[in-house]
Formats: sequence, C-alpha cells, structure tokens
Amino acid sequence: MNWFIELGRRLFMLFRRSQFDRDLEEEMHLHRELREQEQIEGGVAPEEARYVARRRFGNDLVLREESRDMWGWNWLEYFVQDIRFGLRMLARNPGFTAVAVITLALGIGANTAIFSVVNAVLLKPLPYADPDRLAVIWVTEPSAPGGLFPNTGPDFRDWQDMNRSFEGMSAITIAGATLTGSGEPLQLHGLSVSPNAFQVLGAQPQLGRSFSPDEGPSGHNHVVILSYGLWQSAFGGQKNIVGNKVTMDGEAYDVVGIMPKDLRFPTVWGRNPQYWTPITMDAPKWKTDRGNHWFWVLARMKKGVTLNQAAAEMVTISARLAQQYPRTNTGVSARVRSLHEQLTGNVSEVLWVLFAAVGFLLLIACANVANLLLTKTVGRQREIAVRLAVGAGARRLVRQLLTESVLLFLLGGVAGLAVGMAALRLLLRAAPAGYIPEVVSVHLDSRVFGFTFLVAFVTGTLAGLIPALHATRVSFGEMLKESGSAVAASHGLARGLLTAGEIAIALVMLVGAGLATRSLIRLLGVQLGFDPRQVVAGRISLPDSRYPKEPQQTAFFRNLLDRVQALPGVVSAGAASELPLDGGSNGAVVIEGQPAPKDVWSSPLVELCIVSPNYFRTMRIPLLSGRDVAETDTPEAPPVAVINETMAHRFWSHQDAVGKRFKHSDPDAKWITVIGVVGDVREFGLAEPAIPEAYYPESQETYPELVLVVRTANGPQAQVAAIRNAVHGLDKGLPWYRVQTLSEMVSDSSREKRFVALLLALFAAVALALASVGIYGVVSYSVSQRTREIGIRMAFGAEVRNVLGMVLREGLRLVIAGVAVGLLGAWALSRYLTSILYAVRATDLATYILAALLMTAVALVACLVPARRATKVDPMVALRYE
Amino acid sequence: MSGGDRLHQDEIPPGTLYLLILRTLARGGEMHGYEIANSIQQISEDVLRVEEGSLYPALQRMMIKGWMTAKWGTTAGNRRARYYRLTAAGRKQLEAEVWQFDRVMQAITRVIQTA
Repeated sequence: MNWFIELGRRLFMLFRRSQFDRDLEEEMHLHRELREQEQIEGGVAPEEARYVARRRFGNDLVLREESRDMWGWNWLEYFVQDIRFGLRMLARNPGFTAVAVITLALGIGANTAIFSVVNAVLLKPLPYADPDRLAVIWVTEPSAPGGLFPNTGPDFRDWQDMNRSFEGMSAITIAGATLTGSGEPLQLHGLSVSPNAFQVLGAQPQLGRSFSPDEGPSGHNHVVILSYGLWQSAFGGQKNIVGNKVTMDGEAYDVVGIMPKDLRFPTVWGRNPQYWTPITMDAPKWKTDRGNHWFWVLARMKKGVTLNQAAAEMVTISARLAQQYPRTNTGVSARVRSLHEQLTGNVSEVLWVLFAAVGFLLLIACANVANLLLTKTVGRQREIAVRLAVGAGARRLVRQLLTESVLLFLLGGVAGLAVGMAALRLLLRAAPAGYIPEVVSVHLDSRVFGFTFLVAFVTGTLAGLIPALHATRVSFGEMLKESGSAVAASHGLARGLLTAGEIAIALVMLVGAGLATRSLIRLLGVQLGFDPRQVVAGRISLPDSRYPKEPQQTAFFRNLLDRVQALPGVVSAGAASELPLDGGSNGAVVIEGQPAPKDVWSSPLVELCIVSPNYFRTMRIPLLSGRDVAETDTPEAPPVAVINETMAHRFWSHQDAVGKRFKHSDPDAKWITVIGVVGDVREFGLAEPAIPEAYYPESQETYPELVLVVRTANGPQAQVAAIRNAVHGLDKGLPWYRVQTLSEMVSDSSREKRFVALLLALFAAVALALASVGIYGVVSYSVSQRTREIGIRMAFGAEVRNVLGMVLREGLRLVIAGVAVGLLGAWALSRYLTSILYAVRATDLATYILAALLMTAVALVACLVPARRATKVDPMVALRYE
Repeated sequence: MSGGDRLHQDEIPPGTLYLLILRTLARGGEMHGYEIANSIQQISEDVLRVEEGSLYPALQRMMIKGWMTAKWGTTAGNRRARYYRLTAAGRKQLEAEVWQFDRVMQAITRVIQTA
C-alpha cells in the first residue's frame, strides 16, 4: 500500500512542477537571506555576509536539480525533451523524413495486411462456442494412404453408440434444391445434416427452432432451416415465413427456423450453405450400406477429452468394426482432426510463406532507413563529438538518437497502418473465393494494431541503435584529428554490411517469386485435353417430383439438346455429369480376363462420368479410336463406355482397347464394352495428373443432374439468354445455374497459384527496388566522401574509365557478397516453398541463376548513377573541398 | 565565527542526515529549513556542519516517503516560510534509524576498544 501512496505523492508533484520549483526557490532564497542577516548582525560586512551565506549553502542550481531528482520524474522530462528534439530534427529534414516514412510505410503496411490474415485464420479461435472441442472425423482407407474419406451411415451409427469421447456427432453432406414459388426458380445450395448438427456446433437459430431428434425418417424430414442471407434475399426477411411452407424441388417443406446473420457454418465441402434440411435416416445407404461413403462428420468432444484421446478411441472403435465387418471394414480406420486444422490447414502454409516474405521486406526497409540514419549521424558527428566533449552523457545521447529513430518508425507505423488497411482490402478482393476460409472474418483488430506498433518500435530501436552506438563511440580527439574520414570509414563498414544484407534478402525473395512464377507458367502450360474457348456451361437439375422416371429424364435432355443445337450461333451442344477440373465420383472396376482382386480395396479405381452424344465434339476432346456414344445406345442395348487414354494404357497396354470389357466390382454388375478411346483431360485441377476414366452414355446411365455445355460461334456470353429461354421453353420451373464460360473456369482453377505468385512477385519487386535504393545510397555517399581523392586522381591524369571502374568495383564487392549470401539463404529456405510449387523443384538452378543475374544487373545500374557523377568531378573544385 | 576552521568542523557521516533531521524535528515540532540547519549545528555545538543546501533534497525525499508534511506559514520576522512537521510514520522511522545507528556505533566502538 505504501508504494501506492508514495506514487500518489510523486504524481501530485508531477502535475504541479512549476509550483514545486517556485516553492523550492523561495525556501532556499529565504534560507540564504536569513543566514546573511545573521552574519550582518554578527558584525560582518554586507558583501562578505552574502558571500558566506552562499558558500555555506552550496550550489543552489545543483541542489534544486537534486531535489527534483528525488521525485523521480527526470526520465520523463528527458523523454519529453528528446521527443521534442526528435520531432524538430525530423521536421528540419522533410526530404529525409518523407523517404524514410514511405519506405517504412511500405514495409510495415505489407506486414499489417498479411498479419491481419494470419491473425484471423491461424491465431484467432473459430467463431463457435468452445471451438477447441470441435473436431472432424474422417475415414482412412488402406488403398489410399494419407487420404481422408467420408463416412458411411452404419459406421457412423456404430461410432455414435460406441464412443465415450464425444458429446455429439453429426453427419453433414452437401445438398441442392430448386426453390420455386417466389418469382424466377432459384437453385439453392445447402446441407443435409443430422438433426443435432446445430447443437454440436453450438449455434442457436435467430428465429424459430433447430431440428428435433425425430426429424430424420422420411415423412418427418420435410423441414428446413434458412440462412439469414437466403431469408433476406428470397423472403424479404418476413418473420411469418417461420411456420409456413416453401416449395423445394416441387415438394413442400416447413420452415422451422432462421439462423443468425453471423453464423458461419463450417464449409468442409461446398460453399456457405443457404439452407439446412435433415439427412434422410431411413434410406438404405444410411441404414445398411457400409460401402457407401457420402458424408463428413462434425463432432464435439466432451470437456477434458484431448484430441489425442479421442483419436485413439476412434482407432480402437474402427478396429472392432473391422473385426465385425471384415468385407467392408478391413483396414479401414478413423482420423480425428481439429476443426481448426480442417478449415485452415490448406491455406496455412501459404500464409506462413507470405508472412515470411513481408517480414523480409520489412528487414530490407529497416536496413535502408538505418542506412539513411547513419548518413545523417555522420553529418552530425561534429555536433555529437562536441557535446560528448563538454560532458554530455553518452547514454543520454544514445537515448536521444534512439528516440529520434523510434519516432521515425512510429510515424512509419502510422502510415503503415493506413497502407496496411488499403492493402488488406485489395488482398481480400483479389483472393480467390474460398481461399481464405469463409468461417473467419478478417479485419484490423487490437491485436493487429498491437502487432504493427510493436514491429515499428522494435525495428525502430534496432535500426536506430547502429548509428547511435557508432556516433557516440568515437572520441572527440579522434574526430578532430581525422576530420571525419576515420569515422566515415567505420560507418562505411556498417553501411556495407547493411547493404549486402539487403541484397541477400532481396535475392531470397526474388528466388521465391521466381519459383512461384515458374510453377505458374508450368501450370498454365498444362495440356487441358479440351478447348475451353467459346464454350459456356451451366447445370440443370431435374427434380424427382416431376421427373420420377429415367426415360423422362433422358427425353428431357434429348429435347433440350436438340433445341439448343438449333439455336443460331451455336456450334454444338452436349451434356455431362461432371466438367473437367471439377472433380467427380469414382468406382472400383474389374477387368475381363485379368485376375480378380482379393477384396474391394485392391480393385482399381476408375473415374466415372455420364455424357450425351456430341459432348466430346463440343469440348473438342479428341476421339482417338472407336466411336462416340450415340442415341442407339439404349437401355435395352448392351452397356457400353468410352474410356480415356490413361485407362486404355493402364488396363490394355499394347492392345486395342476397343471391344474389351470391364465391369463394376459389385456382385450383380454387368459387363461393359469399350466402344471408343478419347484423349485425357485434367479432371481434378490443372496440377493433378490424368487418371483412368470411363464415360457412360446418358441414355444408358441416366442421371438427373447434368451440365449443359454449349460451343458457340462468336462469344458465349451472347448465347446465355437464348439458352436459358430454351430451358424455360421446356420447363418454366427449372433454373440453369452456375453458368460460366469454360475459359473462366480454367482461369479460376489457377487463381490460387496466380494469387500467390502475384503477391510474391509484388513483394520481390518492392524488395528489389528498396535494395537498389540502398546500394545507390551507399555508393553515392562514398563518392561524395571521396570527392577530394577522386579529384586528385583526375588531376594526376586518371581517366574517366579508371574512376568509373574504381567506383563500380566498390559497389560490385557489396553486390557479390550479397548475392553469394542470398543464394545460400534461398537454397536453405526454398524447401518451405515446396507445397506451393508445381512441376518446379525448390532448387531449380535456372531460377536461381536468373534471379542472381537480375539482382546483379539492377544493383549495378544503381551503382552506375553515382559512378558517373564521380567522373564529372572537377579537380579544382574537389581540391578546395572541405 | 562560523566561517571557521575546517579542522574542527566535521562533515556528517553519510546516511545520518535523515536521522539528524528527524531527531531535530521530533524535538522542535514545526520548523523551517533554516531553523533545522541551525538547530543541528547548535545542538552538536558546531561540530556537525551540514552543507546547508543539502538539507533540501533530503527534505524532498522525506516528504515522498511520508515521514513529514510541510505547510507554508509565517516567521517571527513576518516572512513566508515552509514549515516541516513529523508524521507518525516519521516517528517510527526515527526510532528505526536511532536503533540502527546505535547498533552500528556499538559495533564500531567494540572494534575500536578491542584493537
């Protein structure tokens, strides 16, 4: 308590400093007067009396200072003085201040922007109640080590019954429906969930209720919960929609609740859902089919259970299931991931790479400003030496110089925050959709502010320390003797090191950006296997309620294709269940005449797709042999398939695949005859190699949801309205949705790589610019220091060429040192880039050489400017210099 | 003559200035700086001489510590002066310092006598 009261007294004093000074002075004055008077009364002469009083009292200035010291506020007074002085110095050199602040604003701003994302995605907890207890449980299979697969209905129910680690488990899968009854039919994307999903997540509806446990079996599952967004856009936010019915896929659903605006449902598959319906709990695939993996599992661990404990229990449970159901579950196990890892795992590596890149950028910016500060303190060397000589404390001087640089960096921090806010906005707009997980919200918060100012403060101290220590280490005598040149030499070393370091870091960044760019070029050069130009695609989904029978579905698509084909400007039209680059579904197959695999897991997997006649022609996927699917491939005719080149090579290498047969691995599958072989397409994205694939005729393997693909003669955008009319001409209640040109789709599929490469290239370009400014500064400073020497050399007949060579050699030394260190650094660090590279090794020699050449060339140009200035030195002027 | 011969006027031992001020105030009640200085000198019969100004930093520190309070008053000669007065904490501190001082003195005395 005592120290507290004491602090109170000290603070009181702080705020009444002038009063305090007056009191003290009056008190001391009185003391001396009384003493003087006493002396006079004792018979001393007046002048003598005053002298005695003074002598006995002591030095009153020092004593007043000491008294003030007692209150312990000196540091604050000095601090205020230093800040005033620092601000004056900065204001006196507006050019220097502006260059430094802009440099720092770039460095700090880039860090602020990237850190905001790192903070939101990696550091902040997910926006759910007790998010640490949320987990996602995947199935692992022996055929695909490392792969994570969805679960099956029966296994899920066993997990629920057997586990002790989890409070609740919820099955979740994507769903889609056409909403009719309110204007244009609207295609919705939603989720089918176990009724307890919201309870597991810890989310409450804003209006109405969430699902009750009995809302699973059919007859009870036509209930729907709407997202806030859909409620607003489709129903105008009317409250009475809750308790009413809406029409989805032609069937009536009771709206039971509305979720709040800020609910960000975890999106493991698909996009942010617009609605939720209960998963159908009496379908065979839910009750009995242990081979059908179709939903992911969100689970909440009990309090006090760790992820490892939960994971261990799930492995045990899986082993028991494998014993009980050997045919389907042998080797099948479970893997528990935290929800946070699940949602952010993909982006975290890239984020750390970007964070490192902006960190490097900031280091370069700091080195540049430290260099500027060094130049400035050299200019003030005489002032500093004089102050040291007359007894100024070295510590106080260091503190003053430091205050100045920290002040500069804080200004840079403020400007950086503004740059960072703008950069973050651009970044979020430029980032590919879904790249930054939709569940997090990125914005500047107190942590980002704290980070920015901490960075500004620490870097300011570091950058200020070098010149400050340098400046005060030099003695006065040395200073006067050497008239600055020795000091300049020792500064030269510090500046050289800083600059070489900048070049090294910039080179590391150039190599990183170069590797990312080369990957991107490789990626864009990938043979797609189809021609996306002039093609537009969109989905059509036939609701069961109106198209219950397969012949109806086939007839619909046949009609539609005929109508679209007849449109003016349409070259050809086709349909398929999946587009390239978009993923799809697969199945295990058995090849005729080849040994049957011993179980389900060792059967080869083949990608499956359903196509209409003309699909290949429309996509310009080349038919290599045999024939296309045709309308004559009716359900009554023998089953046929077109396969891709990879499948033909895999199963029938060195033979003609046409006429060969294969079948699906389920027991009652029929043999399917290969009628044609087409070229490979990239099915899972540009970076994924082609895999075996089989295409079935739509007329034999009917499917209610197909992508309509249309090749147009001149510009696909112009045809969109006409195609939509054709769809509506057949059925007014059908939306044509997710319409997109294939060129857009192809460019979207490389957006992530382009985004990262662009950012890295941008950062590297800024780094390159800053580093060349740095080397320019060093060389031109040294030229100005050596003006006299250069003048003398020229007076003695040195030629322009010699002077130029001399200056360039000095710059080149720094460049070579920096490049050497930079290459080593890049070689050591580049392995952290592996995850963002494609078809380029992290040690790609060509990239390293190119980056080193670029760095050297730019740095030499930066040296050339001051070097040319050196050759213009007039010997007579130079000799009079100083 | 108070200008005097240095040989007979001893600088006070370091650390005892607080003790002297506290003791003086304990005996004399309210005093201003000049009075304190004179009092110390008179009682020690001019042996102990304080560099008079150095009272003031000491007084500041003792106020921070809460050993004394100060308020402005008027002297007999009708001058404004700051009067210092001991607080309860100050009295406690005096006891502690006296005890401490005695201990040290006794120890020193013993060392001198046995030598």
